[in-house]
Amino acid sequence: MSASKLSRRSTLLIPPVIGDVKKIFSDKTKQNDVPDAICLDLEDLIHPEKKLNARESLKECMLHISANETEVLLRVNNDMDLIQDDLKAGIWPGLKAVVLPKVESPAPVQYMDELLSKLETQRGINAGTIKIMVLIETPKGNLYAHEIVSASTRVDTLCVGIVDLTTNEIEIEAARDLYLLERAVVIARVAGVQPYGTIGLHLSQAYKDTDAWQRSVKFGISLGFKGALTAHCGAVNFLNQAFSFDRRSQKL
Amino acid sequence: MKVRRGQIFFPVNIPKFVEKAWTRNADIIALDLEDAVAPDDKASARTLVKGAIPVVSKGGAEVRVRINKPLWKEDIEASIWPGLSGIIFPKAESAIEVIKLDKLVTKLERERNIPEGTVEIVPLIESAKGIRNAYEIATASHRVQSFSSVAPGDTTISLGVKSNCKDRDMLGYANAETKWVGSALGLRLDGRAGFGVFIRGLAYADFSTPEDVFVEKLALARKLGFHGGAGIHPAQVKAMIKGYTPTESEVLEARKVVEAFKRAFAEGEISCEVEGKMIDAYSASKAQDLLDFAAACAERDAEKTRLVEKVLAADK
Repeated sequence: MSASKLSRRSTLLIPPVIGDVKKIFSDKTKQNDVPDAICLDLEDLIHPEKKLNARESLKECMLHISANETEVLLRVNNDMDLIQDDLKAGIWPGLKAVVLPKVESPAPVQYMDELLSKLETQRGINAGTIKIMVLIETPKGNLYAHEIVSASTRVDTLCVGIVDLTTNEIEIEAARDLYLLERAVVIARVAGVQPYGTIGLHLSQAYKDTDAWQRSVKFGISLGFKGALTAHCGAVNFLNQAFSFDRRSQKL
Repeated sequence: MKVRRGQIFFPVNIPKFVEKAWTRNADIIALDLEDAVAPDDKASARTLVKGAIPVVSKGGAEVRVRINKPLWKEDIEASIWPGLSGIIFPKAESAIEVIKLDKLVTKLERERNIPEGTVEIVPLIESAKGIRNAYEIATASHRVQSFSSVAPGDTTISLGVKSNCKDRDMLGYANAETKWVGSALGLRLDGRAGFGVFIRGLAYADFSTPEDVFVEKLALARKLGFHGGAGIHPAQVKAMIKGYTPTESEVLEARKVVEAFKRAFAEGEISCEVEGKMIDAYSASKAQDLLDFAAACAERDAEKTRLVEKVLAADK
């Protein structure tokens, strides 16, 4: 696994709102609260009626993020009616990867690969520059995880959103969820892509205290995840700290 | 959505069980031809199925028959009659077995004027081979519409692990595989012996577990996506019907969540706050699922009550 793949300890998912982006890089933000990557969302964090506006703000947000030496990712809608325009609005120099959510089969990955190739040519970006992070969020997605990550050479990250990195809100040994997480890590390692976790991927998955964030991240690390996607800026700090230590202590 | 919270198994050849079954409030009654019937009694037990179906179902329960794997032809031949909802196929180990069963069931449905596809096949995974082939078994026939956790008794023997271990889940992987296959295929998920999940400190088939403890544990099983379980004791069924039904306070909370989210969404927001908790499409959809299931449970309970009252009135 190349070093560049391991640089993304934390990815913060936010709507493309320039004010919010600027806030992240303001003087008030502590260094460890700045994520390694920011993923601008066009999917669940955007109300259906606001998708058009969101697309228009992408370019400005991207420039600002890149200027602050932070990687830019884009989450599109895994929807035939939206994906083409999502990509047209978001493929600009500086974009590192596109996050394709709710993937359940290889076909949408192959389709997006083709769209990306076209746009790269049109916009003077070297072929194959833009990577794909696939987000599996259902048991079916997990079932076809190997086919999904093998669908395009652009796929460099397998992100598991079906369950959180932790199950500690449930007092049972939720062995089944654990198994799915472990399985995804094995598939990612076999394919040579980064196993990526999620922590608080949904706004509703907020943790009560900092201990809970920390426990979750540690648990994810013990399973073999290398970094995680979150929609909560409060989690960034823990991800950066925990996955830095992990990098020093473990051979990847 | 079929509501199948509690299934009770009993041998078809014990008349007092058959006669009283309708009073047990089970969602499903499983007439057993397999482990609960002695080998010498199997042939005679089989002849009782046809007559038992209308007797046990008069309180509104669906009826299934658990067949013997080696005697599958004779048992199915004796079981496919109007009123039967499913065949429980124990020790399922490969797709071809399910396909063979499907063919025979289809033939008998035609011959006996039962609408084609009525009878489900409910495979039980109880062995190492069955776990390995879970996906193939589940996709072998459209008649497979639900999948349960592995049956702990035979599976622990097949895997060579301790059964009824109270402090460690000996079937974690096995149950993970079946649950995952079932949910990937959109099948219903049923627990075994009431749990379907490993619960620290509780053995799988312990009838002495107090009802309130049982009910509380089932609330956790529900959180993991299970909608019902099976047992062999009326007390287990009672606890399962209660434990798998969403509680009143859960329904009230879910309603608040759904309504608040709908309002917020209509105003162009993608999240809102309800009593200090952040709500988004993800949590609202989970709340909606709970409301749908609670409504289906209420409808099912009303139907059963109506039928039971009808029987009681006729008896007078």
